[in-house]
Amino acid sequence: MAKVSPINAQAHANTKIKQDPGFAHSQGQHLIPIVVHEFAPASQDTPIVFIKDSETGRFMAMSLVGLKPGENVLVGEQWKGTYIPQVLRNYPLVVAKGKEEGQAILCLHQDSPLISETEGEALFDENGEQTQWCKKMAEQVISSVEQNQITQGYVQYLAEKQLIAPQTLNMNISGEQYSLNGLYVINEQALNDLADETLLEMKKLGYLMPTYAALLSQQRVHNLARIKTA
Amino acid sequence: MNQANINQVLIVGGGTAGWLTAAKLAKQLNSQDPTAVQVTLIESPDIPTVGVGEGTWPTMRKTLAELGISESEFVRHCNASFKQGTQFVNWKQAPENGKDNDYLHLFSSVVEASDFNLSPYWSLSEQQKNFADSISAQGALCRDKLAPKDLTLAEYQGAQNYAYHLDAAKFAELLKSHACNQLGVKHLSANITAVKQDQSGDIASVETDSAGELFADFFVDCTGFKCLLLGETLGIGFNNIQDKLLTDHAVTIQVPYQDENEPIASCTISTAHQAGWTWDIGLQNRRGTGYVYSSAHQSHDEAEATLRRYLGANTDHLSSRLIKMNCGYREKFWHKNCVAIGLSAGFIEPLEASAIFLIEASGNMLAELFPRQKSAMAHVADKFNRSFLFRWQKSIDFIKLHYYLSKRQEAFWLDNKKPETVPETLLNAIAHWQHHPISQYDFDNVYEPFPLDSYQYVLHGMEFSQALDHNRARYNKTMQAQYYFQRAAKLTEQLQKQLPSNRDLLNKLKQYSFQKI
Repeated sequence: MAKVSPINAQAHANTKIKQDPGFAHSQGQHLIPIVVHEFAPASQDTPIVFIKDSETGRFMAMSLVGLKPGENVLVGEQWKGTYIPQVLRNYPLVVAKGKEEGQAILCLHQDSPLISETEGEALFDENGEQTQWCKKMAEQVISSVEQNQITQGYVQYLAEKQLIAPQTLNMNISGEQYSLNGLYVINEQALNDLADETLLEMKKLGYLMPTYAALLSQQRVHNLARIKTA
Repeated sequence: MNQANINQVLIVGGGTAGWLTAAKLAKQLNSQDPTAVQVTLIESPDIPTVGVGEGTWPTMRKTLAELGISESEFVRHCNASFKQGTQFVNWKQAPENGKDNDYLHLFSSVVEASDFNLSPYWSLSEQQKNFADSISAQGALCRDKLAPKDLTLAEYQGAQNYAYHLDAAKFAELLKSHACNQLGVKHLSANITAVKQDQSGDIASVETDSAGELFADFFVDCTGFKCLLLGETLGIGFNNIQDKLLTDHAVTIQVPYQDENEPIASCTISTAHQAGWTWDIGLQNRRGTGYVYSSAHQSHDEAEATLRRYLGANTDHLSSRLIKMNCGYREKFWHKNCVAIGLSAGFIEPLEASAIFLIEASGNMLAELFPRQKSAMAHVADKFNRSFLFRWQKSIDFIKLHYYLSKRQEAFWLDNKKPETVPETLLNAIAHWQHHPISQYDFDNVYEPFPLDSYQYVLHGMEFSQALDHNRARYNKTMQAQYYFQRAAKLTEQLQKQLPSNRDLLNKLKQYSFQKI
């Protein structure tokens, strides 16, 4: 686990955060966590898949950005997708749970190459107050946490209704065979077979659009293959 | 011909047998529909259950899944743990110079013996590894006390085949609540004061102290060793098997863990001693242990001392319980309109966890063939009786095999090898297997309780001498065999890295759950 430490005015008085339009820190990740609010834009670029967290068994929603473990075809000088997942834009800021219930502490990935003393946006101004940029980022990061919780509820709903099913992704690109295991995707048949009352419930919960977005996004695997071979 | 319908089933006795049968019947007969067969269970508030059956077979996963019970809830409620087989310690021979010997009987092999039998290839090869480790990854997992799965696998799915260790009292409790709340079983708590028969000899009703007289069309006797309906009322006799399996008592002790992170074994540990063997079953909150022995070969005091010696220091304060085992089975399991399931049907020493397994099998067969008309009863009863006579006899054969192959020299062990104590079917099979590998045709009955694979684990584990050299030419698929041996080795390495410890997974299940998919 990467080291994170809470930000504070003393330790980070001179700390600045650089921007990396290529999001190189996500190199080596073939799956990027996304929240349900991002399904519509994310589905334009990449397949939306679900994986189980080995620590908790819970499903998590992911944007698939590579065709084999450790590969991210969207990383480059510029991000090669039209949509940049929020978790990438938040980096290197992150929220950790405080000791008290509901407490959230803004933290920094200490080892991030985006941390600098000379370049980028400052976290604190000369009076030791959080800068506008920092406040805006904090809001964004905290709203991600809330959206994560909503996403967890949504994904668990899909699992309980058995609307997702395991899928091994097999592809042959220029003679090379690719295979990814442990992925779950929306099961079109199960979706079509839903009872009317469940469908109505999903409509009321706002679950229909993201579910269809995730279903359609399965075709985007060809997009990844195209970018990879470009 | 009696064309009367069978609409009401009364199960007499709670406990594992009663509740498992009630749940299976109600589920499979759809008792929630008022026009379907209705299931009522009556249990005595005063008679305790025996409740030491703590080991299951992998069939339990299917049973629970079919009943619609969540695996995570089951594990939490029953303090259950994952079981991947049985380790037999000092069965081959007594420890030499204080050094134990052991082998494993596992649930998973890299390939099923009925598809490709690795046994002759292992026998004929330059053996680097023991049989179990050559053909299965599971031995290493047991030794490392690892679980057969992790949280990413759906409920009832395993990286390796597995069963459970469970708290029998808690299990009956869970089944009771599920059967009554979800499956439409009716529950009564009362003591039975008399059993009444009609002119034809069928059981007509039971009289109770507080629930009145209860009539039913069909009765399931789950009254334990007492066998109130089938034995005491209908007079069906008991085949004692003391002449074949010599143990007749068990002394049990429940051992709490030293601390909450003490590793939990992921197999049953069965250790041979002077006049019997101990079981050691790791649940979440305690170990269940017991010593099964022959009172003709060892006094009760010495037996308890043997168990306490096995458990080691710091257990003197733990109380023990003595159980008299009435080993044998009924001459018939189904007579008239009554079937016995559980201890009332029979009991055999718990060496291969057959008790709960036979309850499941009985419940399945009863539900599947359930006669909806009285006229169909005799036909089904006959099928049931033949099937379970076979299963009991084969279970005895299989358990006897463990004793027969032992090289231990104490009087109890030598007596167990006397030919007059060994079923003829077993003697014939063993004579054949000295020069031929076990074949699937040795196990061609659909009711075979223990498969070919089980026999092979025991035979090779006990270092049974099998000479196949005269027939080497017959076993020419060595490339394929090598492939499977290598696959087992690779899988072992992979799973050892991937799987959590039994304790870790069980701790996580207190908070998290397996998904349905």
